[in-house]
Amino acid sequence: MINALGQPQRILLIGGTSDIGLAIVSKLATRDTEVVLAGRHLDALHAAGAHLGDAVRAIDVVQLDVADTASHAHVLGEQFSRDIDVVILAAGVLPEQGQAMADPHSAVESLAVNGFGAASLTLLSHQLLAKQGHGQLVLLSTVAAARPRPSNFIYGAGKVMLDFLGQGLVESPDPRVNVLLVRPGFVHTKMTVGMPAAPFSVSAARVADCVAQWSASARRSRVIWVPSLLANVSRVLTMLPLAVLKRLDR
Amino acid sequence: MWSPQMGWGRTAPSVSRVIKPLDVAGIEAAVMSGSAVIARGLGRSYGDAAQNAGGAVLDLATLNSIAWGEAGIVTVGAGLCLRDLINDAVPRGWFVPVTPGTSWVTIGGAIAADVHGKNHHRDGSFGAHVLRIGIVDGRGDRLDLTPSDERFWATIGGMGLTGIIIDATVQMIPIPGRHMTVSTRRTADFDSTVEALMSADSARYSVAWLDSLATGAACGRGIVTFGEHSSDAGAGKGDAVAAPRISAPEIFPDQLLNRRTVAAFNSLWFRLAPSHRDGQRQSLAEFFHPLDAVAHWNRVYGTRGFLQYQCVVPAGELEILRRIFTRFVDAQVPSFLTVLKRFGAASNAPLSFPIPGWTLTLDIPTDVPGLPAILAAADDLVTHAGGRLYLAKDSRMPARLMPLMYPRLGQWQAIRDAMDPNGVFTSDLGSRLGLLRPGRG
Repeated sequence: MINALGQPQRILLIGGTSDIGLAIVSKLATRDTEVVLAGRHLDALHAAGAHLGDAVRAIDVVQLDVADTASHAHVLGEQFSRDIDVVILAAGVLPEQGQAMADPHSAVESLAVNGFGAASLTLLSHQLLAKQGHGQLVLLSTVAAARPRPSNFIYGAGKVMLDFLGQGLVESPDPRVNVLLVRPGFVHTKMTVGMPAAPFSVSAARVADCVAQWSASARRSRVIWVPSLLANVSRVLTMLPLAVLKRLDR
Repeated sequence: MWSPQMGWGRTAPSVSRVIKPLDVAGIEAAVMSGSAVIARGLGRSYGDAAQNAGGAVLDLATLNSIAWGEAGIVTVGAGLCLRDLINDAVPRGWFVPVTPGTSWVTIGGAIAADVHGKNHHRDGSFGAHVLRIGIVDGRGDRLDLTPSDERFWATIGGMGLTGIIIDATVQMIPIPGRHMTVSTRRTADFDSTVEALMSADSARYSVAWLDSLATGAACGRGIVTFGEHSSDAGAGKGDAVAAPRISAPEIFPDQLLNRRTVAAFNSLWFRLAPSHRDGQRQSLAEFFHPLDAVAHWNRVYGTRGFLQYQCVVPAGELEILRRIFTRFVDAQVPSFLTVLKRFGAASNAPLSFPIPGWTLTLDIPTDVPGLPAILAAADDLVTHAGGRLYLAKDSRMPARLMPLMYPRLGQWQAIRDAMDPNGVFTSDLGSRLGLLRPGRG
């Protein structure tokens, strides 16, 4: 159970090596929190867990292939044999746009993770949290899901599915589950290292701060943009003529 | 269908279905329905004791019968409010043996939390005055429990997790009238507050209010009050404990109670108190339930809510209690309700809170900067001293401290599991603190 100070007892991070996901865990967890890191590569999960160190009570790692949707029910079902207070869905891949255009197979592989895999985990987690009777579901979407941009629309195409589902869950809330759909702009992480930072870029810690602020006193589901200014920027972007957008996206 | 439930501190809500059984058969049906259930009285536990995320809470307000026997023995429904029992009893010359700081508590809640009052050093907690408990267990069976039965003691202080209490037989205390004779001592520092409380041991009721923000030589200054029941010279008519005069609206901003406002209140409260007064006449409500005059006073803390930190340390560990209090003062935690009280003998109940010693209580807004670390440090000191936190007040303590603070937890769990083999009775508090065995509920 999440206590009066907003401290969770058990957190599941799907995408257990995600910089943003780990930053959120670090912000939410206390020395009495158990953390479960789920992801494809156990070695990388162990290394990620080592970074959390003594700041949490216990770290468990569990193998999960996001693209293998048939395995999700079993893996998540096992984890929900004990209460989970917060599920953070931070799994995703960032395909290089040019390469993905040249190789449609690799593009579809990224859609299997960012789209179908994330959708499966979102719906399953929501269902299990509702059955448990309480909990928070944090979904990491992106501003790239708001409007296709020449530089990353294959990445955005996958995230649109997650974003749409997330928005649906926020707008048709189940009172047992509080959903937070997070739409960050460009975030400085290992996934984006070497890429030119877009305007309004933020750190993973900043995203984590915003999630923690909601989580501490979550009374309802919400959509947030990080930074919040992006909500308005996004509205403008969706109305921009393509020619202008192409100029901005160089 | 889903209804949000919160404790008095208005933190960490969860949703449950609310079932209002009309009679014992309705309770038995709810227990056998397959849903996890917990009884909910008037919601005065500060945390999540009467919440049941995704399950059901039973509202037993219809079980409010009062049946008087001989010599102040009364059998009452579990949903009866203490206020209604007092108002029925006082004209007959009787009073509840123990009352907490509010009369808005049900009989079932008073038993489940084993509440204590200003007379603990003399009379013990509520459970010490209960002669019989009627309860529906996890099989849907109705049981009559008496003090010779370990299930009786597991139910007292058992936070509702041993079954649904349906009624109880209680030994009331005789009183000469509907008033109190009260003495007041204003004390200059922690030592003199403690001394005044110890010298008041012979009084039936005693308690100290502390100024939680006074520092330096004034650290621990307070107002000690002690009282006795007195006869009715010119007694009034009507209810002994009247209904609230005003109600706090839902408009208070967050952080209204901050260091500056609480310091101003505390200072004024201290200065308004007489330095030494004897023989003051007070009504029962004025003496026992002053905050009940304002309905919904918990709204004053705004949307973020507040918590109550109540610990007890053994009598020989007063120095540790001083350190705990001093840490709150040093951190300038704004508490306008800070109470120090002596406890007498402990109950036989494994999860009953009071042990012989000193109990300190602070009301704290949850948005105080650095609060988690301040409370964690206090927890460490309490545990080190062999003390514990009060489950009816708790909303945030770590589960790992539970077996350290309540060494008889395992014994209680074994009795509970036998009474509830299918894990019907669950609560958010029970889940949070690991009171229910893993995989149950």
